[in-house]
Amino acid sequence: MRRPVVAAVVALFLIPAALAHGLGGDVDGGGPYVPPAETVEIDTRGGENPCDNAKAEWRPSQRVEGVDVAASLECTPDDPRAVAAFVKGTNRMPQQLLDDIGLHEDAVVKDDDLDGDGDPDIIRITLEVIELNGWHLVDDALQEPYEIAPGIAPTFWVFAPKTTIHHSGPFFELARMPTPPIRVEVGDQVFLTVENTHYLPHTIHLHGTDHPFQDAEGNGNDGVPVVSEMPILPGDARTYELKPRVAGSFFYHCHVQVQVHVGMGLGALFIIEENRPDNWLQTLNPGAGPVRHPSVASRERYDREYDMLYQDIDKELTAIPKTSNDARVISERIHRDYDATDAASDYFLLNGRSFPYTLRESTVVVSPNETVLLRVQNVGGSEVALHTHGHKGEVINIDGVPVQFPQIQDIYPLTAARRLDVVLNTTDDGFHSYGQGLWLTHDHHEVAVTTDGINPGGDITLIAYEDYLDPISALPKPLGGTFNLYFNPAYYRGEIPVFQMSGLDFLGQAGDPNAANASNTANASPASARTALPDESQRVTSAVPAPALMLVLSVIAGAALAAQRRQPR
Amino acid sequence: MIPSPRHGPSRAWLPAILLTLLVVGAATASAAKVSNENREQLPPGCDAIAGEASAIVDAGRAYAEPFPGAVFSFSNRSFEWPACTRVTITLQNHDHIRHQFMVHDAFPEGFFQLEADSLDNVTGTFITGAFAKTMLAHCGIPQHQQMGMKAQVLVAGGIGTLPNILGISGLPAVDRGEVASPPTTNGPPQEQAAAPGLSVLTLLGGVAVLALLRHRMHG
Repeated sequence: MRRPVVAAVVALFLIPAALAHGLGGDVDGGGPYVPPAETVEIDTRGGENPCDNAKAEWRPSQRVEGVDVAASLECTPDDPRAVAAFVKGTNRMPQQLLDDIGLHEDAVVKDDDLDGDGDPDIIRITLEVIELNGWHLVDDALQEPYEIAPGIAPTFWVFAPKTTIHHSGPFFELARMPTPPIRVEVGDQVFLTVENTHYLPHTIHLHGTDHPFQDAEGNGNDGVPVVSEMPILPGDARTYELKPRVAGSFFYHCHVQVQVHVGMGLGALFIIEENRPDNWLQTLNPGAGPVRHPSVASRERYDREYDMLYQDIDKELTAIPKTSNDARVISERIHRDYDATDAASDYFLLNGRSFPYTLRESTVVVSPNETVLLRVQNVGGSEVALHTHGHKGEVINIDGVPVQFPQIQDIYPLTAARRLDVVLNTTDDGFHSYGQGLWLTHDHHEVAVTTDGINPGGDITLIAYEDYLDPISALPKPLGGTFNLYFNPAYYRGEIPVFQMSGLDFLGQAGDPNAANASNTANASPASARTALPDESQRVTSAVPAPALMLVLSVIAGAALAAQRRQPR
Repeated sequence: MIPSPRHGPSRAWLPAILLTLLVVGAATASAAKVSNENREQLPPGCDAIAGEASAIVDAGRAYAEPFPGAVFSFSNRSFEWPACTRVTITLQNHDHIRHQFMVHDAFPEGFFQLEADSLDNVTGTFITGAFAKTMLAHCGIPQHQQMGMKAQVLVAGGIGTLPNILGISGLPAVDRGEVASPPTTNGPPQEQAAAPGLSVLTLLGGVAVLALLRHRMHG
């Protein structure tokens, strides 16, 4: 009888206390009013010019050394001289032009019209293996880091067209992420040479591309270490041979230690075009994106063509080569210490860049009533759920194979290594297109629209109708503000409140609570504001209640235990 | 003529294309390149060429073999020449890739460079300056300098030794991680871990109280 009575008494005390908490807390529990910290306006100066227009003359359609190069309305379009060299063949270009752009005369050599249809059929491509943003002395910092976004320069390994003379300036137009898409024609006799300029072994595997297991001399030709060959050692070279019989969008990548080598950047599209008369192809497309000299078949069917390579990056992986100048140490750390099964993606790239840099060179520029071919590839290890705002595209080929019943969809799923040929129809019919505008295009795994967790970033780009481009910079003209804030390293260091640009002061940067009554603290620099961030000090204090509670509970439990033990039995 | 994206050329041009191919191809057959060669122009302070010198620089993976962890190197990594001397260098490449020997701060263009393709040789000339200085020489292909292809040119005795030259100099303390490096501008900052002190102390206190109580119970 006594126990229910005790319980009722306890409940009488507890229930009002619980209600008091639910209705706003304990009376007098809040103490005196303390004015909150002032909102600090972060100084966003120090950002970059979104487009310096230094390459504006490269945008219009033009003829270079007899090669017509289509217009490219990007802030930083491909160099028309390089496009012409990749079409005509570096063996047919003036040496001075090649030297000016840093392209080696062996990069793409085109010979012999074997089938008499007006275009060369012996294609010799030479690639080097280049490390971007590698180890260097602290006092000898990189003068021109290859940045994927403002202030972010991971280390990459790429297959790059054979360059010459320069190791800065023009060099970075050619040796950059991603590894360049390759185009050859059905029936071409292709000699793909890798000159291993890197300090680790590599190979090339022609994934999905018609190629023999052994070359004409009986050497392994599949690029798989041990199975078909020894890897190509530093300082050595090897030539892979193929004479493809089937057209399609395929893949080439290093097959040495693939769990890290592909993730470091060594892979890209390998496209076999249909054999047509007078079919002079843009054999390499460094930086991917717009194809400024499409094939004959492409020109017959489409108004424009874009290469779009998606890749996710683990920053823990790409940080390793910077840690040593000892090749043994790097090899140990990247091949043994690094556990790819624990990998997590931090950066999401489209054509080797993340937003906002994608706006400079990988905008999908269109006009109404066009058909546009997108050759999309997932080079990374995570699935991509590519989504086109305002458009439903038609997937006509999967992994280079025509689809029997083409699907029209607005999500284009790409598993690892997958290639999709997607046709956009920009006819404003409420189905294929909803009309002109700036239509976001991105991986719908939402993490992929961030750069190391900061949004907007990742692989965001736009399907941009020409009327929505700035006539001076060729950058898209947004309606809801400006992209300028994002061209700032401080933004991607997380130092700028994401809504500050929108004038939403109430969501601005909270200042130091201890300086709440101090005079004007506005216009703090991002760095100084970060040192005063209240949430960091709170992070420490917020960790206190749980252990403190544990302490109290421990004392109570201990005391109860002791009291119980002392009772006479 | 190359077909345009919209209008292809007539096939009548084909013989001309092939002929052009042969002519231009022959003209660009040599892959050896010399940038900013200077045989005559005197650097400031030089009244005349004081003398002639020459060197053969062998380049390749084999020259890094005595140095574990290095991958590419030169046969010689420190050169010393008097002031106002006309220096002729031959770069002999023993690898199947290209290598460079680039001398920084060379008169008059700011650098002098030799580039030799696979198993190729190339020779070029520059003139040393009038005053003592130490010049960087290296292969400009990314990471070749860092992996061993770094050398120095001491003019009139030089003004010191550059770091990280195989067999000659080591890494500065900051690159060995022995002193703090200046903040980098590349990449996001390292995440700051919350200070654990108070939380850990509180937990330890709780454990200590429990232990004390148990001790008193059994005592």
